[in-house]
Amino acid sequence: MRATIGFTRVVHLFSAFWTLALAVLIFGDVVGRGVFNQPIPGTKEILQNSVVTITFLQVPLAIYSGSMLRTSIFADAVPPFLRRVLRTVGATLGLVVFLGLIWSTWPAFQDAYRIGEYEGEGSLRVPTWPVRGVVLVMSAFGGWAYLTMIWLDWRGKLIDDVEAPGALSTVGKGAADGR
Amino acid sequence: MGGDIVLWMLGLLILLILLGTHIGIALAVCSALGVWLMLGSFEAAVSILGNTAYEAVRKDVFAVIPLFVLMGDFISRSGAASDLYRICDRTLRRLPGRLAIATIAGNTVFAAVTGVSIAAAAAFSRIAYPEMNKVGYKKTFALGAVAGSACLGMLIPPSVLLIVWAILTEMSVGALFIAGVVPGVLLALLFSGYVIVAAIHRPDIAPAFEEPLVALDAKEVRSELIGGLGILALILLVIGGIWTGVFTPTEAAGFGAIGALVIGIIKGMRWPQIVEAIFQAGRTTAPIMFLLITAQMYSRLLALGGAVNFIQGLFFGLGADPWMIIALMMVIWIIMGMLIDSVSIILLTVPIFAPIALALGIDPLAFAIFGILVIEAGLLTPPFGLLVYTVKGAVPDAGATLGMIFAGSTPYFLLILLAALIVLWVPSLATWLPQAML
Repeated sequence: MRATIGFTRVVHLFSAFWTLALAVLIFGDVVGRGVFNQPIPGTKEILQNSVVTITFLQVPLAIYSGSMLRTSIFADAVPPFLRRVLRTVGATLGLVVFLGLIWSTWPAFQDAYRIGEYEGEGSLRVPTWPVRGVVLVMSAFGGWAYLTMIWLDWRGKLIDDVEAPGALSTVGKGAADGR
Repeated sequence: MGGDIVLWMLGLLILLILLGTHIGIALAVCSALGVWLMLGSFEAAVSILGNTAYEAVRKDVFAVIPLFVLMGDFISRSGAASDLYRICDRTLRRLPGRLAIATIAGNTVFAAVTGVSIAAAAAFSRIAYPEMNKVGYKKTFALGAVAGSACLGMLIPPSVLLIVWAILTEMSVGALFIAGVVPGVLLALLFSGYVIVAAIHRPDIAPAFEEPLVALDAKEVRSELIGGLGILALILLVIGGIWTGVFTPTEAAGFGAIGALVIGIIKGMRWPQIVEAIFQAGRTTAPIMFLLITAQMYSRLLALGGAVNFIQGLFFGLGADPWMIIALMMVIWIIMGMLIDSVSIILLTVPIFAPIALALGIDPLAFAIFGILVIEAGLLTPPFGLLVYTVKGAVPDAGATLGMIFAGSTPYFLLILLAALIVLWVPSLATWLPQAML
């Protein structure tokens, strides 16, 4: 379990740095266009595909760290057992959604890979299977995250009802610091 | 038929959200189920999930959200907010309630370099509140100033709410950004006016004093210069770049993130803090992006069921006056604001409300600013007032209760609603600056 969450954190951090890399790319593109009259080819395509990829790479940690947006207004008013049942229902629905995503992404991924589907024109052709692949793999990971959250929940391991142990432990405490 | 199914799904959606299901998951479940019931095809329902996941955020404009959040995280961790607060206090020293006004002014400027108001609420809880407490400001008054003025972050660009609204209604992100500037300044002036009146009326809630917060020695001058000029440069780069058309919003966001990192490094951020900022920015972004994806599934359901016309028909069928329809929207937003976060409210209601407002002849830019003001007022209302909880979690004073913060922010809540009505009444406040865009 600890290894899974550790891996989730690594994936999250990787995609978070990817965001910074996009900023550098945009910077290079604009400076290149303005100063050297030579934009970086494919910037737009890279940006498009990166946004989807980054989002899906960050989904598992959002689940494990309890950052998925929700309201606890009703849950706060009921006894702990019922609250746990509600969380389990919610997580099961999450699992179902990700199973649905896998179901519908798998054939699209296979097709894209087999026929070498691509986007863009001219010399710059971006194959679509890697992004579809990320959606596929990370959907499986997201479903797994929901499943393990149910398991952790019933074993009484969750922190504050929403956070898997270790999801935020080393970094992340003391968010949004004003110093 | 389609309309009925959509209404059932809306009911199920509200039920699931109230029961605490992750909002993105609830949206996906209801959309897929609704499509299944409507078309009778399980395949079609599931393929909506897969197609939307792949396509929904595949546009370069969506990169603005992670990039602006990253910029805000760098700035809030750099310590520049602290410089800003002391500069504002030094400048506004003569005014009654000067520390509360410095909080508002600091937030106004800080809002122009961050995209979420939580960052501002947390920062000023640690920076401004202790100073106000030290010189004997009434706690309710001081806490209200911190929580209330943090709302400015959502109105003054760059703001995640403005981005989400623009994307949903297919407006230009740049134009909506610029539209938020004048109403944002107006709101800040209303807040300051309240503080001055309150402080003159009851001097005991905000005792006057003469000395500066920090003596102006060489070290302080250097810190304030770097922080102040750095933020000013960033604002000129980002908002100026968009306004003059030099940058697209995506480019401005990229430059903003790099600029904020540079300021952070000059202000002394090192590797661990930089990693922390990047990590946390990802944590803020991912749930919003996931919501954006699932919200598009929901939009597809609404479109397929002809829901917008259906609900529009319900609204107009009441035979209500336009102002009653607007009032109804306000009530729905305020109630939702008590329960769920602002991005979710926008995603759930705007696809339905925006076309209705257009049919009523309201300018889309003005309606957007009006809506965002009303929705952010919800950040201050019990029981879920997000900013109130943020302030409670961040102030270094165990004696500050949630009740005090809610009470202290009530005047700000009312002023935000007032500002919303003013914008609705005088739409040119929102539309004038975007029309003058170069």
